[in-house]
Amino acid sequence: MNELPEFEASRLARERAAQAVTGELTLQRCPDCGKIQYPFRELCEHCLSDGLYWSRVERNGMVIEAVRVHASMHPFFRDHAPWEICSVALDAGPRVIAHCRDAGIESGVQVVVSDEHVGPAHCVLVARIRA
Amino acid sequence: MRRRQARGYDRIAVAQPYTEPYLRTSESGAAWFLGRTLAGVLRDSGIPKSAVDGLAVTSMSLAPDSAPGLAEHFGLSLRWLESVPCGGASGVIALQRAARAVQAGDAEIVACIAGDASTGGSFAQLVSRFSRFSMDAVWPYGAAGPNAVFALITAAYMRRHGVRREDFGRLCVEQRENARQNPLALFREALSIEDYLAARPIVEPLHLYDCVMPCAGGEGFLVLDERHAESLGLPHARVRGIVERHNAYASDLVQLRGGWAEERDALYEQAGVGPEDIDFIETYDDYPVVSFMQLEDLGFCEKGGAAEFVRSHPGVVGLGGLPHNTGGGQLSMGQAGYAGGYLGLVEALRQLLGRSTGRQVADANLGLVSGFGYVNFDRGVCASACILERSA
Repeated sequence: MNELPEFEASRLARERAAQAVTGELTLQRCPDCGKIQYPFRELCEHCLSDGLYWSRVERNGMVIEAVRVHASMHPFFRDHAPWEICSVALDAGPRVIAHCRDAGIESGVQVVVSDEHVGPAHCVLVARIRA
Repeated sequence: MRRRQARGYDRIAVAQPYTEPYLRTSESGAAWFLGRTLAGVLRDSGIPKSAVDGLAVTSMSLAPDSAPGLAEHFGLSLRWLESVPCGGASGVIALQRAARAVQAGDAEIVACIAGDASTGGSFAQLVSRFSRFSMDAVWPYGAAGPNAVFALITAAYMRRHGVRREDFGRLCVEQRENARQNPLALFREALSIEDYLAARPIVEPLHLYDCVMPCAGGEGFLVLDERHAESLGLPHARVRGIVERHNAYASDLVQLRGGWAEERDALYEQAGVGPEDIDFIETYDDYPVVSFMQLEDLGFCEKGGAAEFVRSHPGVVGLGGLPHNTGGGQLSMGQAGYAGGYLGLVEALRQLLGRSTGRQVADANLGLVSGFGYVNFDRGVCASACILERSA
């Protein structure tokens, strides 16, 4: 998937897309407790601190579950079906949903999750099996 | 420290179940379905509009309008107005708010109404901007709408507990059986386990009959003091207990349990009964795995035991098991937006009043209704449950 249809992204998602580097993983970190956050948010989930900042974080994680999407309400995704997505528990802390970029991604598999730019203003998470 | 028990709901009456019939699509807006629901409740109860001094509103498609706008739109002068945006947990929560308002004397007659529109494509638009988290962290993965999130949950549940598609299928087939005589259900044709298993995949392991059909419609009821209901000659049920819990077990990697597990002891303690006393149950069935979790977390069986429970306790009314989703549930009736979060309560009320539109549970004295909703990211945030009793 090299492009996505236009979708409404939050201010924080756009800010992140501008800072993220394909192949790395950039998420919010709390300046006070250090907790890595996801999804993008205004304040720290743990200590409600202000000033979350974008930070390169550990990309390794374990697949919680992976599923194959056949039907979507959006024509773009319908045209590209079926495709696979997974939920991942990152070693850095949070859970994320990501596109599967390798075959064989299933529950319990160790993966690397990284950013991938899709279109000028958007950046998604992709998972690959850890070498 | 043991937490203090909440004050009970003595003398709170729930009356006048009403369903504004569901339509697959309609050009009418949410206010039409909400207003028709209010009109239906008033007409069937004989209560004049001017006597309603409290209103609780639930809708996902009402924007840019909101509850105060409806007061003006419907010509209501109110001294109590509430908006309950907790998705599928909203019916029970609206009842809780209304019951407390009546107990406190802040309102005398509260109409609780939920309604949603369904114009072509409107559901896709709504889910594409359901919440900030879902816009940023779910939609770009093609997972807009809850199907993909619940596929992840269903797959994890099947793996953890050794459950097969047939196990979920049994629940869907039973609910369809309950729906077959219910004129309010959108889907009344027979559904076999073979039909269920042969259905096309939506997001594996979910297939067509695991998913609810979005539609338009409304659900409503009245809340008032029991003595007041008696003086008006209004048949009613009593509230025995209500609980809610939001964002429970937030650190679980995947949602295999909900807030009911944390609140069930409080619920049964407040009601003075246990799961063995319940005559029928209405769970929130946006997906069968969610109903399985409710059966477990509300104490009808052990965690992971729902498949066996459903096998050994038929949910079809009249078969001697535990009647479950007696009107067919959302899986057979359709999901009229957030009104789906009132459906179980309205159906339970009909059962307790002996007014089922489909299959009536014999000797229905105690009904349990549970709600679940608001998928913000990778799980439902809100859980609620209540126990209602037939008024002698």
